[in-house]
Amino acid sequence: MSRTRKLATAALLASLALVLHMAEAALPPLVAIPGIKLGLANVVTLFAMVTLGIPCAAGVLAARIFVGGLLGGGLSAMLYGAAGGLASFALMSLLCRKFQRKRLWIVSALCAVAHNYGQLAVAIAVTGRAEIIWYAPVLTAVGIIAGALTGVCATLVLNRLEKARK
Amino acid sequence: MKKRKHTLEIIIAAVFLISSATALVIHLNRESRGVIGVYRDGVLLSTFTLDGIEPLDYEVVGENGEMNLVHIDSDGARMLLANCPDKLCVLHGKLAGNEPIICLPNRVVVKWLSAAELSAETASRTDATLP
Amino acid sequence: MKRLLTALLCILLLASCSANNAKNPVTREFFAMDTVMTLTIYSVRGADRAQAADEVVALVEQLAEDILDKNATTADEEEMMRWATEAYNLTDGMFDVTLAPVIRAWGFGTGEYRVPAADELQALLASRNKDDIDYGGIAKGYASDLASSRVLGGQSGNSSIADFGGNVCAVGSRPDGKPWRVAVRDPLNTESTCGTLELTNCAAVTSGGYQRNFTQDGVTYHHIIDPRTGYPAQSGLASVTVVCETGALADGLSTGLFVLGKERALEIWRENRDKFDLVLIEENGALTVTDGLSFTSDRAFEVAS
Repeated sequence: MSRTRKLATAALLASLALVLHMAEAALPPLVAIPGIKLGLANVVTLFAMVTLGIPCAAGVLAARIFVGGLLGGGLSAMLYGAAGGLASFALMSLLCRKFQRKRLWIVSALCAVAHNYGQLAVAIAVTGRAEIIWYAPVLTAVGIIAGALTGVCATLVLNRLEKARK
Repeated sequence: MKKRKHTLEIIIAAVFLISSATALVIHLNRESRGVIGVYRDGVLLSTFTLDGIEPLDYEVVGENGEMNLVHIDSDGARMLLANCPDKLCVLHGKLAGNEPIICLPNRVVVKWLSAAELSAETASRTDATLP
Repeated sequence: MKRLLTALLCILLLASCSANNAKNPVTREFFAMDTVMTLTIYSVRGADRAQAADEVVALVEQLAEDILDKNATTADEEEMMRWATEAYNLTDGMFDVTLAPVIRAWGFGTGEYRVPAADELQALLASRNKDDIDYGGIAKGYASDLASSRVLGGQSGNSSIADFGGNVCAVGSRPDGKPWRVAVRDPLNTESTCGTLELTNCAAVTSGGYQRNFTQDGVTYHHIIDPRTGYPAQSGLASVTVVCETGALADGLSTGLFVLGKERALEIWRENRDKFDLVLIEENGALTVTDGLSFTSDRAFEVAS
């Protein structure tokens, strides 16, 4: 893919991720724990990593977190988003290449859990109370489910795209 | 080709089951544990011994206008009102087990206090104790 | 760069010097009047804190010696008698320094605990007189008054807190300006406390059966004797805490009001509000605090007015 094409695609994906992020934020919360959502925008991040590579995907993610924070939630939302996003992204970069397309849901599930743990760490640091860690079981379970779902989505999209090209 | 090992999938499934079960147990454990502590920024603001207490609403106000209203009765505690943007703390419902009620934007935590924690908190704020 | 670092280091050192004084008090622990006493001195205007601590220790040890030798200086004896009499008057005679022989008969003091026979107690009660006095119920309170009036207190800005064998003496306020926080023990569960008093420039004393007692044949006998019967008081109270400007009076009142029980104690308080305040804990755990006190607790309590 040429650089221009990559840039254009990345920009498109970033806006897509942002739209998904804002749409999700408008829905009522899933569980009474901060930061727990389906994470639909992560489908885009994963997709970006597979098709455009790690650096571009990083850009897509950063754009989504930054602008997402600006448009709603404020500085704290940006902080939590960054913490979770960083943990999740780091893991994603490590694992992405090692799994076949069919098994991407595993990558996504693990990254979702990492995202939640990242947010958990920030929550403990901000409130100064260690017992927040008792939220870990819920966060693990919900993370696995949500991650698996977004992973499957990513796989489906990638498959469709491939079919469309042929 | 068909005999591929599914170890990773099994591990993930197991982790999922264990964590869900644990989460359920934690969240459904709504027994009273006697003493509740309310914190902001990690600092204990007030403790409440539930035995024989009259229901009350404890207001937590912050320097930057943060406001949380904690309802406490002989059963436990829940967040009645909060001026945070997400209101997740209010949705949490009753305090359950080791999982605290947290209002992240306002940095407020409501949790059960064990006897040891209560003694430690009291001792650190006391200058002398009458015998 | 080097100069900058040296400058920073100097500033840090200077800062730590002044911080030291405010944060680190002079503490002293010593043994007198059969009990452990502790001093925590943050500031004594116009005096060296360590020296002040020494003076207090010397003062108390001397008083203890004088009392034991039955040799208390006339001035001390007069003062103690004055407070003992006031406590006697304020408690319908329930605080009585002439009860000494009765208390001894039970073994409190010697450690040879026994349950005296009824007629023995009657005889001892009848033969009470001013020649056989034990200032034990008031001595520690008096010691705390001497310490605060002669050494620790008397000037604004002085800040210290002392524990004379259970008689807490709060001089001034905490170094940060807030009142001293003194916890009241839970008589039903002596490992924990059941509330905190905020005190400035006053004394606090608690009397309770749980403090000294012995058990014989399954019955527990405590050291606060009811002068009407000669037996340990059964008033329904588990502990009485008196907060008062004078430690000696607080000492006597806490003992006498314990014997009288909650109702009468509150009646007496209402007639003497400006003299003292109370924290009463009943045998069932009920907590009552008079309205002149700043008291916080995580459990419910009644405010008496």
